[in-house]
Amino acid sequence: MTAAAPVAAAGPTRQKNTRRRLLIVFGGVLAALVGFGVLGIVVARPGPVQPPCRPDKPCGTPPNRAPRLVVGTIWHSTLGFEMEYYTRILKVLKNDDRNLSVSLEIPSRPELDLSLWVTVAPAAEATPLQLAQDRISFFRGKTLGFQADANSKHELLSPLVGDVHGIGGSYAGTIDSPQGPGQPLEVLIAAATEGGRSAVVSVATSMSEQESGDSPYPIFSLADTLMNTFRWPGEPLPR
Amino acid sequence: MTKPSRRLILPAGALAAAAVAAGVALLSRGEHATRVEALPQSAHAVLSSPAHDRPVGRTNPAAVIDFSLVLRLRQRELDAYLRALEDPTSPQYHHYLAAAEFGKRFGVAPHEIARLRRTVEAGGLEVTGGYPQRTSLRLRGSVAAVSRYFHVTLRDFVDSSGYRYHEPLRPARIPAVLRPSVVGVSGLSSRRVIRPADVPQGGLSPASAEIAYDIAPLHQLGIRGEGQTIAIVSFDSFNDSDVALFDRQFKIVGPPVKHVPVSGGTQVGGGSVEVNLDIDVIRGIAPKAQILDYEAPLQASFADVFQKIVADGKADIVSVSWGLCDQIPRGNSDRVATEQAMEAVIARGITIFVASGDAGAYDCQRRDFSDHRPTVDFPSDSPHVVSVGGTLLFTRQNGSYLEEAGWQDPFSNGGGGGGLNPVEPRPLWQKAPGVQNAKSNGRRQLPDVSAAADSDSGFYIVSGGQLTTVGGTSAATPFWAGSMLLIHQYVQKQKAGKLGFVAPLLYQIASTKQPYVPAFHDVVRGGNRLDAAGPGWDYSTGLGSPDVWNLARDIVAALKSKK
Repeated sequence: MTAAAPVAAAGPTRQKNTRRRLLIVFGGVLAALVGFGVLGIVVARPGPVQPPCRPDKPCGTPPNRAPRLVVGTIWHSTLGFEMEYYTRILKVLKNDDRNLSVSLEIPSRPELDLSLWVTVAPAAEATPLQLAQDRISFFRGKTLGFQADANSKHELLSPLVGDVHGIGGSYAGTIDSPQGPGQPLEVLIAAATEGGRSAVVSVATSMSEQESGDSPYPIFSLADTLMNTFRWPGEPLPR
Repeated sequence: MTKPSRRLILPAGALAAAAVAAGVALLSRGEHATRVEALPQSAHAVLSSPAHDRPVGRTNPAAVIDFSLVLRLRQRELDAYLRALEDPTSPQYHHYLAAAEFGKRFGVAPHEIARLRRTVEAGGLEVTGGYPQRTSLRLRGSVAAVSRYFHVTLRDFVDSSGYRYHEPLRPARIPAVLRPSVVGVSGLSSRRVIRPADVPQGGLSPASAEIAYDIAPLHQLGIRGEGQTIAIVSFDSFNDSDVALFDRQFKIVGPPVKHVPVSGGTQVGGGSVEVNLDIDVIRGIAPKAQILDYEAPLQASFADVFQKIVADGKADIVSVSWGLCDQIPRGNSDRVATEQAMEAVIARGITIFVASGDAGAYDCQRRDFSDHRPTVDFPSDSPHVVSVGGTLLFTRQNGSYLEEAGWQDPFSNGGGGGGLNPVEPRPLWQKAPGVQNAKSNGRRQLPDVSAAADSDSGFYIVSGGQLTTVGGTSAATPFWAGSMLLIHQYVQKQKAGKLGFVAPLLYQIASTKQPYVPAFHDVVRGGNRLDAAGPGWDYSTGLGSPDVWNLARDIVAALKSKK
């Protein structure tokens, strides 16, 4: 009885337990299914709408790492200066750590005349004035009657070396050749200092002045082209 | 004519620079550089200083001349309207007017125009026309009748190029009977004072400009100028064959460029390179746009051209690469006529882009090498235009944008124009970091914006049958005008409202946080031979050059936020 009782008693109890177990399993499976469903919905649900770009951040295109375009040859100074020049049309007269001198040489256009000299130095060694005076002495040795050009049309209004304003002016003389006085020479000199460095640039041409147009000596536009590439030490070069 | 050999120096000198610059442009694409060596003459309208012109006696009294009466506008109402146009809280905000509506609201009444007509005809003068915006009346008469009626003496002069012109010795006196409705007499001088902004040599093809300034995404969206019309202001003309050759060279297909004569029109002359430059730069950016080339003789005025553009009512954007050193006093009839005409352009919802000049901070130096005063160019210095300055553009090897510097060529007197207007006050909308600075004096400051102009980063064009490269703010200006035409089309496509006179919007975008940055490349190197470029607005590059795709989206966002 005792044994049977439980057995007898076990009939409906077992059934109840089985049903309960089934219910628990069913409930568990259902809960799991619902859970997975909810999880699926959550996972699959599109996130909150993001603005296409964040304010103040570059947007849309990946960062560009292509190197800068360099066409000519780069002159470097250990003082930190650099400049680009073009051997296709320029003859290099001097190229060392502190100097770059070039002159225009296009065989098909011999009438085009332009020379350019760049000299750099630590500011402790040479001020812009000293560098400019060195250039004046240089031209005095090569020309006759070299002096400041009094013609206001020729004035160098903005003595710039690269982007740095400095001192300078226009000068005139006559080329001293073994055959005697040669052609008139027009010279512009600009010198400046920045960041403990000094630099001077001088340009010269023996070509004739023109009375209208953009400037009295349009050939000097080539000097501007070259100086567009002049960089002072520390001047950031975008990479 | 007197020194023909010297005239060769300009192209010769420029050739050397071009050889270098073209090398930069061509070698980057692996092309051969020699094809640019056959350069055409760099054609400038070389204009003489009046002080150097030769007087040759009284003007023939029987000669017949054309000129204009500048009509009085209801200026106070017009000023209030122009302010309200840019005020989002005003019911007038972006409520633009057709030419006839402008005339009705701000011009003299029709019966008064009829009275003026009768009055001047009684004085022996003929009224040959007017404009629906009622800003001026065109007159014709013999020199004798004009002299008698306006108490002027006309003299003839010959300039250094041999061009003969007439000019009054003193300003015209307006008869009392006209004064209630007339503020001035313009066009009594036939002196050629307008000149193209410079066109030095140097190489951006349509494809490379598209990459460098981020125009490509607009093109990829099919925004290429379809349904848009742009007016070019020219004081010369162009050969259709040059445009056809440019199209073939760069595989451009678009509507033919139309010649629109103004004041009798003009023929292809010494300034045609300028016209070719304007057309080709715009065509490279917006190839499907309709380009209207408004062509006036050099002795015509800006007012004549702007009046016709407004009256025609076709243009969405205007590009001007011509100007003169601004020494025009306030109240001068020609200045008043031009400013009034430009006000009518703004009221029409059109933006005028104008080149700021190519002599840096010394605009008058191009006319007289001895003139070393800081000066600016007119009408680029007007508060009614977007003034476009110049930069030198550096790119990466793949053609994309690297950096820019304010354009300054100290040895050859070149540079993007910039400085202070001598008379006009600074407009209310000219506000951005950098605008208020140590030089500010309450007057209009320029430029507003900038783009590649140094000859070393100029644009490819075809002129005189030759492929060449040219720069100058003459190139930067059609570049901005063409880019804004694409933005105008994008704004329409996005149903963002009306673009209108865009200068206030440019300053707003430059001075507030934007969703798409940078809208402007802030140029912080270089200068204009006097003032250095720096962070924010500056006298060399204004707000900077555009990232066109970003600017387009920022403009759309700004317009939608005001809806």
